[in-house]
Amino acid sequence: MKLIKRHVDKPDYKGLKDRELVKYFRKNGDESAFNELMNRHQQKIYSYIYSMVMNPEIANDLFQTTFTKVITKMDDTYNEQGKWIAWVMRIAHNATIDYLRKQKRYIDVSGWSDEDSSTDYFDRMEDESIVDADEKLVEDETRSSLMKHISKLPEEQRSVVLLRHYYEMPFKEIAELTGVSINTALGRMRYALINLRKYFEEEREKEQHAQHG
Amino acid sequence: MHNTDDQKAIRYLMKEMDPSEELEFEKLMREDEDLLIEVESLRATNKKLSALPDLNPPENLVNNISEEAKQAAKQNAGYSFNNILIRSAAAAVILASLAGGYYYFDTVPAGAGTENIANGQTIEPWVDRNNILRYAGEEPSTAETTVHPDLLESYDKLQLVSEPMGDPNPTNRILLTGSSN
Repeated sequence: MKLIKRHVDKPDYKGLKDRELVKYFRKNGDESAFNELMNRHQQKIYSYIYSMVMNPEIANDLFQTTFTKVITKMDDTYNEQGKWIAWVMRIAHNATIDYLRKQKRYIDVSGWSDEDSSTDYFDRMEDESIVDADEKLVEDETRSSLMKHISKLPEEQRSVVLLRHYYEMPFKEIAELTGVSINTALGRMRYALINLRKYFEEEREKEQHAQHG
Repeated sequence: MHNTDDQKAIRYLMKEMDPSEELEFEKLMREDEDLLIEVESLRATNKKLSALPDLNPPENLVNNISEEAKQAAKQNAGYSFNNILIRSAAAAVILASLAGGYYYFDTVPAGAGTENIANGQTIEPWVDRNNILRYAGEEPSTAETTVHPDLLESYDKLQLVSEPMGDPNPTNRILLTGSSN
């Protein structure tokens, strides 16, 4: 008896748009479509989360939490009219901000002096983890100091900078995502750049002092 | 530098201005040296952001998530299959009822609605004057024979009223009443 091999044509996932991949996953339960979506966006999402929390283990947890929500909520809350990645970024952003706020509350109640919490609380967090993460993941010195300075920014300024950098998100979308007006989002970007400039200058001065001393 | 200029500086740097606004802002920078210095300084800092690293999540984490997606896809598929089964069954039941109903009304002969009860008496369904369908225990013919004589006798009691009392407008009328008073 001749066996007839049934050949099922799989779509060319790389050529499909995000929206089409989402449809394949939702309607046909096609996990390959989901994997393609992951491949496309995982780096940016992970980089954003990591740069926000500066700790690999926490970044991993938040990344996993984000995608668990994406998988379980896609049928209920994702509207196919909108961009899938913007929806995922909202989940990642909210998970990250929730974590940071909980951490901040924890630090506040555990007796740290809190005169300028909005600018320095990342300094007061586990500094070691920032240094460790930088040593492991960022070899370049400029990159290392950049990450350190980014981590010193208040969370709302940091998230605007990172959303803009990793997603090239228009300020209108950043404003929607973070729940503020466009002017506030633009203002946060400006203050973030001013703060970073200040941190780089302070670093340079320290280096100059060290060389002369 | 005004607050609006600050906003404009960032919009200019982030390329969020339309061309005419851009030209206008460049003209403004040529006229205001402080603004030009500020914009260039912010531009230099913004350039440093390009060194931000692109980081990949650990492979085992990605595999875990893929596995989770696979499980969800399977569950979804199972759920859809069950849904299809339930819907098909419901559709089959509805179709069967419709076909049965059609068959019944199409094939039952006229007069088949007459019911035979145990003692051999035949009761036919009938409709009363209020359009209510009646079956057993009510026989319109016997009820009519008891009511009809009373109805006839009631006409005998009617009397002509000759002197209407307390009527301000004395016109001739016939008042019919059921009582002898």
